[in-house]
Amino acid sequence: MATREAGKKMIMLKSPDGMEFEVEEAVAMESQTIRKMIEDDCADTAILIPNINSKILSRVIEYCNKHVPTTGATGAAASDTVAPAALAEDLKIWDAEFIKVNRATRFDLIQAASYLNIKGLLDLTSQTTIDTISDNSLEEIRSFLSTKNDYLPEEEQTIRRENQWAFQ
Amino acid sequence: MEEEEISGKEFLRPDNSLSLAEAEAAAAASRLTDDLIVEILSRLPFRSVCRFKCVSKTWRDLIAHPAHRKKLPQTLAGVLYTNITGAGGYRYHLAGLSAEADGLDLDPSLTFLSHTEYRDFGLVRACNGLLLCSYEPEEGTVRFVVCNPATQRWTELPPRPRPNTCRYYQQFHLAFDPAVPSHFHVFDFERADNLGITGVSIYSSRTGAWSQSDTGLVEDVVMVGQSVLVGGMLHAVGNLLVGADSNNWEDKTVLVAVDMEGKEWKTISVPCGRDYGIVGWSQGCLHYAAISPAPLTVGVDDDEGSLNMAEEVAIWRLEDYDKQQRALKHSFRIDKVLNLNEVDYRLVGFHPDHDTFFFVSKGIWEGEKASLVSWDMRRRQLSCVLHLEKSSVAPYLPYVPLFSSEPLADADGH
Repeated sequence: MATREAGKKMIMLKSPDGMEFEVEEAVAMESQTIRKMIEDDCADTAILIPNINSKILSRVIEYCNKHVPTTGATGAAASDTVAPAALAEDLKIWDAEFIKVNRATRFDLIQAASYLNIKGLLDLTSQTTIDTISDNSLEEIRSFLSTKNDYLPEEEQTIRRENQWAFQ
Repeated sequence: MEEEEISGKEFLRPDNSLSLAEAEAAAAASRLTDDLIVEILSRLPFRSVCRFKCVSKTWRDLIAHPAHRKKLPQTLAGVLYTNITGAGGYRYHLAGLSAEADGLDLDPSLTFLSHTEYRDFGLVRACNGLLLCSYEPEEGTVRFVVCNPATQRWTELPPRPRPNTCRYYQQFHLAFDPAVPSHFHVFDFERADNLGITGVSIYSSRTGAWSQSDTGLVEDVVMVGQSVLVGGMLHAVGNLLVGADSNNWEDKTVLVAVDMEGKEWKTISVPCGRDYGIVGWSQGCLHYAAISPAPLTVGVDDDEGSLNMAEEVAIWRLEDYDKQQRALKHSFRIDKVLNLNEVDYRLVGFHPDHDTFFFVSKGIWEGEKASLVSWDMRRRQLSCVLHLEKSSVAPYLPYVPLFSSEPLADADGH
């Protein structure tokens, strides 16, 4: 949970299961949805984030905390000493560790990233999902995304024949 | 960083953890909306999207839905070309190659431009769904229009601050990267007569202006053919101008690579052949094809006469870009496919997702129609022959439609 630092404006985010998260405004504004609410003055005290439970919301905040650009006096000093390439590499390693979660959490993160409009998190979660399943068999893909095969046997034969080249 | 540490509810006994995890995953998956499924699928190459169509009817319909085309990868719709009408005007056509192309709302005849003042412009390049066209409003000046036949949007580029004296269309190139969909670049290479390129003017749609750079190459080189965008750099087929006394023409063809600022330049040597080769992007690799004079595949039915007429199309793949490691991927004797006594041909390009290669063949007698021919590299056979309109002219441009309106969002015309 974020701690208050002098001079930094804080925002309260509330999950539907009643948890409250105090975060720096800059961190919350990694979400374009929240940014718009703040800019439109719709966020005076606390913002209720519907459909995203506290478990997922805390992970999203963790992601935004890591990805918020460092600005201001201390931030500028830090980026003088660390090369941008090294920072990007560090973030990549952090992201890879962050996304080591089970399927349910990953799907919930996709949904949260989409609702909150956090492009980096949506890219990360969607790409990881694709990387996991792109080489799998149809049956494995169906099972992974819990989707049903609603083709009739002859329909499936036809579509398989039309797209046979893609399986070679 | 295990999520189980975060919520107490997640602590499960090992023996029933699987089924509960499965049930939770299924519940979470069911909350993924159609838009989110498309969001995930949009990161796949076209080939994988085709496999995913087979997952379920629901997904097939989702992928085919017109609203999702903007996000999902597209494949080759066909080859765009121009024909000259009896009255001397130009008409534009798409030789359609994919079944899907019929259902797409394309305007390959570019009628949306016919309402403008632009007439009889030349099709110059197609790059990832955008087209570069050029026209001469008056003798000696060239102006450019960039358009999208799928969204029917177009924009005219401002005139170059310093007109180019060289007006060969081989010097004009287009670079558009769908991963950076908000802007495109147009390259206009400058050269003095009989000399290599001296520099390039690059138009950036982000700045809306041209900027000029000098060549960064020590070699004397001219642009002679197609280009492809790889790793943020334009790669265009070029020809080294070597001394007149040099008979060593084997090493004359290169790919000239230039970045979008015109600052970084390099050349990649490619095998030389009769005429200039063609460059393309297929299945994640840069491809290059040329008509190879040697070595030739000699068949059991060959004799001296047939070997005199022998020509072989050789297709290379750059397997490791950084090490410039290329491998001969495929070759075929085109004289076994076409009667070269009666038919002339021209290499056209590669299918971006299949092992298919295209060329245009045309009878050498006056008035004969040309055909677009597909060569299936796996089966080693012709897979499709499409007759083109009478009096068709080069360039023949492989075309993958782009349904996103982003690159020409602020266009003048739509």
